[in-house]
Amino acid sequence: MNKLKKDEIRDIGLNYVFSQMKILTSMGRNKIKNLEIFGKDNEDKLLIEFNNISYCLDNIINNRELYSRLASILSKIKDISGTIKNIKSKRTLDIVELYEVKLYSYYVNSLIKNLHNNNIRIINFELIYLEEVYRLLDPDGLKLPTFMIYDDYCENLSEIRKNKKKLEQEIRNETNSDLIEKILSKRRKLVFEEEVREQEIRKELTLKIFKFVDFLEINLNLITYLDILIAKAKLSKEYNCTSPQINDNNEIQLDNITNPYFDSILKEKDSSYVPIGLVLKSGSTVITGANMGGKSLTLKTIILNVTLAQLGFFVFADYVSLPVLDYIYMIMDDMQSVDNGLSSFGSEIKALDEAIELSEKDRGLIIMDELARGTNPQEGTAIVNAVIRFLNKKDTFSVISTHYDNIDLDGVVQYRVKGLKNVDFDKLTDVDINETKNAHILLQGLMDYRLEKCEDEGVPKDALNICKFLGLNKELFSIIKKYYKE
Amino acid sequence: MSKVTCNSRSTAIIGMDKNVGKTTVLNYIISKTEGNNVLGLTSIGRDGESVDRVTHTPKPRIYVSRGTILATAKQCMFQSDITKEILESTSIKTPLGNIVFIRSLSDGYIDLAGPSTTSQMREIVSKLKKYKVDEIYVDGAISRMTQCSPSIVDSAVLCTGAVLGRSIEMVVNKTNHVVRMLLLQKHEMSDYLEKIEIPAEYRVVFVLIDGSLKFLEAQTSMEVAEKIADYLEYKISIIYIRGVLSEDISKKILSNKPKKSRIDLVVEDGTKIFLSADIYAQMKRHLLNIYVLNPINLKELYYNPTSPSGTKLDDIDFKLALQESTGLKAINVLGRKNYE
Repeated sequence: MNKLKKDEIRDIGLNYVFSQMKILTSMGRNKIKNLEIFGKDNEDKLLIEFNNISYCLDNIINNRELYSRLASILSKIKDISGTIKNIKSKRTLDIVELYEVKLYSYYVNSLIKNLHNNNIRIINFELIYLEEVYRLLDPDGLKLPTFMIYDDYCENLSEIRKNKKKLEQEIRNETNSDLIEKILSKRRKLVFEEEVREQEIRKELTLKIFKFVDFLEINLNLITYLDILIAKAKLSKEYNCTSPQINDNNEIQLDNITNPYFDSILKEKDSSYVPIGLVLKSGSTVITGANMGGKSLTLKTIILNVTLAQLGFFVFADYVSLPVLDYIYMIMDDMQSVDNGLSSFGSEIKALDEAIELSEKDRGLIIMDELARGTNPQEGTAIVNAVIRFLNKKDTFSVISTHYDNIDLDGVVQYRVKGLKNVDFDKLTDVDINETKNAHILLQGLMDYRLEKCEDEGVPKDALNICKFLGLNKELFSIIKKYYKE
Repeated sequence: MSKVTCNSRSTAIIGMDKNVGKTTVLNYIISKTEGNNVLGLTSIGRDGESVDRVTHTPKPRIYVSRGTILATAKQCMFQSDITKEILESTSIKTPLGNIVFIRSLSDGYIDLAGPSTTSQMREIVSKLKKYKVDEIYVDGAISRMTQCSPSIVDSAVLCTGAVLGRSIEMVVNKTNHVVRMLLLQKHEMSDYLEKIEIPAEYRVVFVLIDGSLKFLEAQTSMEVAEKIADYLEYKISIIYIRGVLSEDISKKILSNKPKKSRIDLVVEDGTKIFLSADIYAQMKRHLLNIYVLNPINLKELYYNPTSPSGTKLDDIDFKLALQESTGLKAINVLGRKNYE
């Protein structure tokens, strides 16, 4: 998914979003794991994608009867890509493969009919009728959902089968085991002949189907596309998502974005995710805020929605406007990699280097959570300041969260998590705090996770309040306080 | 337990071992119903090879009548010499290809290889019913008994034979133990136990003497064996084990239960019990009685007095000994008389 790693896709909640989709074919389920963002070169296709989702919402999802009919057909369509490969290399299909091609053709045709009868017109989506393929595999026009090498394929074959049946009847009526053995051996010859004929017929059928193999393949890709498109539309309806607006003005506007993954986790704790809003400009944006203030969740929710938009999904927001990006890069905590033996700081710097290289060529989104947290504050501050300066000149959107003080914010957009700013700690008596067994839950309740734009305020100092609130040892607390004043 | 909703009766043919003549039994049953009833056939694993893979002795093949519905692995279907109509190709995987449903349009020899898990077997059997067969037979084996549990099939027949031991006594003892496990009685509290709503992760339910319940959470039966001792200090009247009852679990209960108190051990059905005759006898002596929720309808016992290695047990003595110890009707499928 263009620079997002597997565990990052899970962490930001993208896997959760996929899991909430009603994908009906195995092709769709495979495809969803390997989606790629559209990128600047495919901007027109991305616009069409949003258009198609809207169209599906209005004309398929909101037409329950049609949706359930299409869903029922889609769920029956099997992945015949292996069979298609065999046809392409003219490998004679076996009887089960022929059966699968027959059913596939049947369902494709019925899908086309259903779409046609309901006047469904999806842009860049045109399934091809497989009437002829179906007729090849249903020579008697029986319209049964089964397949055999029909007698009609070859006169010789029906003759062989008639004779075989005669012998089988003789076996049924015979009691003498020597005689049975004799008839069985005659039967074996016929079985062999039958197999040879069947093999010839299968070969002929395969060659006839070969002419249509491109159609089979095009349809398979389109069906996979349709499956995911309808699932996207259904998801959008269930979560009340909105279509992202694509702009050219160097700005990512995010109004009340949410994250269904975090929301589902918080719901279990009888809480819910608080929507956030912010505007990113090309260059650096800094997010500051207290520990426990939800900075990481905020970053993940930004990245989720931006990624979804770039993948051609509707977003979990009231309104989102953004340009088409070429990559999405995330540098999060726990970067420590056992594989390459680097410390978390080492891994971070390596990732940073990769991200910067990307930003030299294309425009994307780089998200950095608590950059250089693993090193000492003095050096860390220097690194963060330098990265902010450096990336501020780029086209790429960079979002850096930090709790370091002395960040040079000159000319850089800054947001802070409101956090505990508006809580009057003096009004919370010691009794309140000590009586609360689950201080951290009370604290979460007081915490304001929303973002506010600010200028020159530096980094908030909620840490002391949090220490007090969580009931840190009183003596230790008073020593910390003393140091604070110095 | 989900019981049959359709008219088709389903029977598992369970072999005590390879080479007890299971295929012969199946052919015998097929020949009895020849043409009159539509049969649905499947297997718990691979069967129907012309040469036994383990002993390299020639094996009889299954011969079916036209109209029979088969659920078998794709590769086995190719080995079958019937004229075939493909009814359905499933996504149930086996080492010999996915399971396909076919109708035989002629008489002929077939190879059967079925699914490998219990839930897949349940799916296959219910699909066979969908094809409106009159009788379903599952080619089963003692080593994979859970696929023949009463939740899947209505009844079972057991096949035993000389291959299990050198003497009649040995074979009869082994057979009798299996029969006893399969025929364990339904516990008087079965209906109550089945009605308790228990999350899947609770593998053991303890009903205490005062009627209250305790639960043991575990993933595997090994974990049950590790944890169960801790619960035996309670005053227990029933231990209901969901899943397999292994020797390890039984030994843990035996060595930790209060000496003179009676405890009833309840399992879902006889296919979940994996105990030797010795352990079972020891349990009985220590007032640890085993019951089931769903008894198995074990109808008949088929036997084969000869083994591929040449052992030949006396037909009449063998038959009488089997009947006497198991109380079931024993039929020699090789004996002519039984064909009538």
